[in-house]
Amino acid sequence: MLTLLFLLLFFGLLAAGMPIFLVLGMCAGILYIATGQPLIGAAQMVINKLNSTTLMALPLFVMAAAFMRSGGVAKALVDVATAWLGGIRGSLGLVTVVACTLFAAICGSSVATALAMGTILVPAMIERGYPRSFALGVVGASGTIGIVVPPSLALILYGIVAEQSVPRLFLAGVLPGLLQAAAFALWVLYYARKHNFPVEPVLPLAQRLRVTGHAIPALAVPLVVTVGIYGGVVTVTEAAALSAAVALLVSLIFYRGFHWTQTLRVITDGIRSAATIMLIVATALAFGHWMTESGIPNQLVNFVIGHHFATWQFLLIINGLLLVLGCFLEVTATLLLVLPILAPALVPLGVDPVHFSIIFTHNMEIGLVHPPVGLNLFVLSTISSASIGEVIRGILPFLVLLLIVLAIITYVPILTLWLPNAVFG
Amino acid sequence: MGLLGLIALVIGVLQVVGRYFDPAQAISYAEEVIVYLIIWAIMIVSSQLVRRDGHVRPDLVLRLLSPRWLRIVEIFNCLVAIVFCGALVWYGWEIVDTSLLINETSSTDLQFPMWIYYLALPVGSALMLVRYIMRLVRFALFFDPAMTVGPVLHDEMPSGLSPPLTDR
Amino acid sequence: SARADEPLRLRCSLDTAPSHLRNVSVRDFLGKVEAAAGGKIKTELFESGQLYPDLEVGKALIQGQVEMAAPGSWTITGIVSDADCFQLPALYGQPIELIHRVIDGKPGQYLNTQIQQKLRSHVVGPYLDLGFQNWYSANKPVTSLADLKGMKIRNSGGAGQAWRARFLGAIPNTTAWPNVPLALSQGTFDGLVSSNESLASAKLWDSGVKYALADRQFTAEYIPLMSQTFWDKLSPDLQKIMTDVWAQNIPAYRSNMAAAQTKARATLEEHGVKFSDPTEEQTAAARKSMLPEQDQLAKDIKVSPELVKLIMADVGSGS
Ligand code: NA
Ligand code: NA
Repeated sequence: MLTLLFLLLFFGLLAAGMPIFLVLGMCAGILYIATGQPLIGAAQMVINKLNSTTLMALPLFVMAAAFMRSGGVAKALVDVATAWLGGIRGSLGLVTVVACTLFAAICGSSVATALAMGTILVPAMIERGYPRSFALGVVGASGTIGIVVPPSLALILYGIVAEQSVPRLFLAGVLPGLLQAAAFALWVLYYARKHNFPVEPVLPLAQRLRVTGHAIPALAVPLVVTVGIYGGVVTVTEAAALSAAVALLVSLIFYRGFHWTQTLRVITDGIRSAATIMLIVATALAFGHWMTESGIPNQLVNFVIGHHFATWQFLLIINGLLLVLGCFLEVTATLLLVLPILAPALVPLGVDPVHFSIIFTHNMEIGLVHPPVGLNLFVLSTISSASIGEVIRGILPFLVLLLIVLAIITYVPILTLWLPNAVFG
Repeated sequence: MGLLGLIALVIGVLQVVGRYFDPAQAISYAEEVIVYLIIWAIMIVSSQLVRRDGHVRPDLVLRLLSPRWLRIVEIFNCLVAIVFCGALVWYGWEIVDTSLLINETSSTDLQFPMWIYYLALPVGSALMLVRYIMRLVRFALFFDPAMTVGPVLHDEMPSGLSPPLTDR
Repeated sequence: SARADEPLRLRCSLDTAPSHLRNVSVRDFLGKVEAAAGGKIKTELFESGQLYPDLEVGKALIQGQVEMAAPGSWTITGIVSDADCFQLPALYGQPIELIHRVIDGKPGQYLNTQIQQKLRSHVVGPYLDLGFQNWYSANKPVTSLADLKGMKIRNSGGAGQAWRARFLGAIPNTTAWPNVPLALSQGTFDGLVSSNESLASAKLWDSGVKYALADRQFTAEYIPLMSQTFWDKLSPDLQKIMTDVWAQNIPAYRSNMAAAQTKARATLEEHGVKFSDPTEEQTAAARKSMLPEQDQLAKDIKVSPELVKLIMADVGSGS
């Protein structure tokens, strides 16, 4: 009964074109009332969920992204990649995959990646004659790599809930992330050849070097963040603040994409982009809280665990379950919802929790790009003013690739476990 | 908002740099303050997003509707938004009130009075409420068939500075 | 009416994993209560912070969002500042028998009254020990308190812990437990205050913890709470069942936890963590050096003078 009410409400409000944060907030509120919970709890939940240092990495990285795209930093980075990949059909698509992977690895947030890279690369691709839905698809899909490649906010949370060593989880994500990037790159090359995408001219060496020289200050941004995080100087949130500061300085000193008097404007821009996402995350978490309490996910998982499946069947069913949950919920909500119930069942079922962490995060990546609730879809639709439908169409082939990669990750555990075991023994 | 963001950024950088050169200079509560500043900025900016219709929304169905139906659905949406924001103002205020009553502080070195942080919720929601009422009035009384939904692009690219720097 | 026969719903929120001994103890308690209540109460346990992290559960109890919780004393200091009394110098490095005398005696009753007023919650019975909190370090060997000078030390929260770090010349840092492994392996801080069991459950040796100074600087206590609204709904016999079941089992819960801490120490040592144990004389000397600041500290962290007096009376009579 409650489930029916929820489904009607959820899809009804979505169909009416209501802002996502309102849809989630209203669903949470009405379900609180239906189950006799005081509403003040839902409001408290919203404001408490926002009070998180870990979550702050998101607006700060978005701010960095705002500086990078307005200040000309990101353009310099894209230019250099384009210069060296000239002559290959679809090279700009390839640049997108590479740039997104690098950026995502640095910032740990898929959404910030889609936002930063999307604003630069989508217009660039359209300008060079790529279909808009393809451009949106490749950015949206490549952005999802952020939560599997270290550092990753999702893996940190997983480590806590499932009591696993976070550095181990980080290493486990490296190879699967590379596999995914490689799959995307090959698909882009194939698609470009098939649809006869334009070829970028091969630049003379002198010009390539000149473009590279121009990009050196821009390279300071990823450098500072990478050295900061992997060199053991700063936390992810601090790295976000630092990258924003460096991006600001480099923009003001070298590229002058905006005048220093416009700094506050650019920051406001960044905060505005971050706000659309933060409100959705906060309401999604309040909503997830109701879901947890309703006991619906517990029943579902207990059903699966209670039927004594073989390991491979178990993994297949759990993947299906996570994909369904990913349709409705945000990453953190899914994680907090399912993992505490699932974690104790892993070892008895012969599943390594480190292996499972990557299966789990990969599933959440897929959730970011599959409808109806996929944050990356919304982000791309916001920045391009394309309809959600067009974004979905563009992302569909990548969704298929993501599912294939998921199957490989699930049934070839060595891919995830080899690196952490080699390093930590 | 930009100013709140800039202060947050400066504090973050000071903390990292300070700690790197002289650990004793590190601000132990920097991250906590950054959260308060940014959340205040985000709550205030949310009302601007209402004005620009910049909140992410699935406009799949809306774009297919005739102006007449678009108007009806959008009026409905505004009404729901008004109820939601109104509830957030009400309960947000109750949260602030309780927090004041029990003298709640953060469990850190700083012992920050939490009501100041919580206040961002009713204030931000009240601003959004006003904007949604204005939007309702516009769609209900001053409707013109050319009106659409979706981000207002001529004065906002959420992504950058490409449009001319005017207004606000 | 039919409604009166419906079992009362008791939702309990914990933010530790199912394997944690707090969860094991509370699960056992809930099971026994449900059995003894003969169908009048239906219990539900939510773990791993599914419903609330401990830091937020106090508010949830006040607002009647949850019926039961057992938050760590350090997580409620924002609302009940007296709960920070475990950091008082007089309790530094004391044996567990004395700590139990304090929390089960008059100071504990005083604190319970404060909790009852400010959290609008009923304290079900004696507190559940998490165990002694010690110093742990990643790269710098720590064999005495003097070694902590200049080190960045993470704590779990509350102004009292920050004070102790500063008193010893260390730089206090409060980092949420979820961020500890990464921050530690990145050198965001050099060491932390925690317990053997917490370190072992998070496998912190993977993040570089190599040394421990087992000075038992304070005992972390979980306080079993039920929202006052729920408690008032219970009939007197149900209230008695709750109180009795908890009281009958708390000795076992406490000794299980102590055994787990000992076992966790062995696990840490197996993974190469080197422990240093200060002598009784060293601990007493350290306590003596901190005591002159106790009154000022109590004022700063808002621990009432009455509570300090009660604690001093218990400490004085014991040693
Ligand atoms: Na990452
Ligand atoms: Na989704």
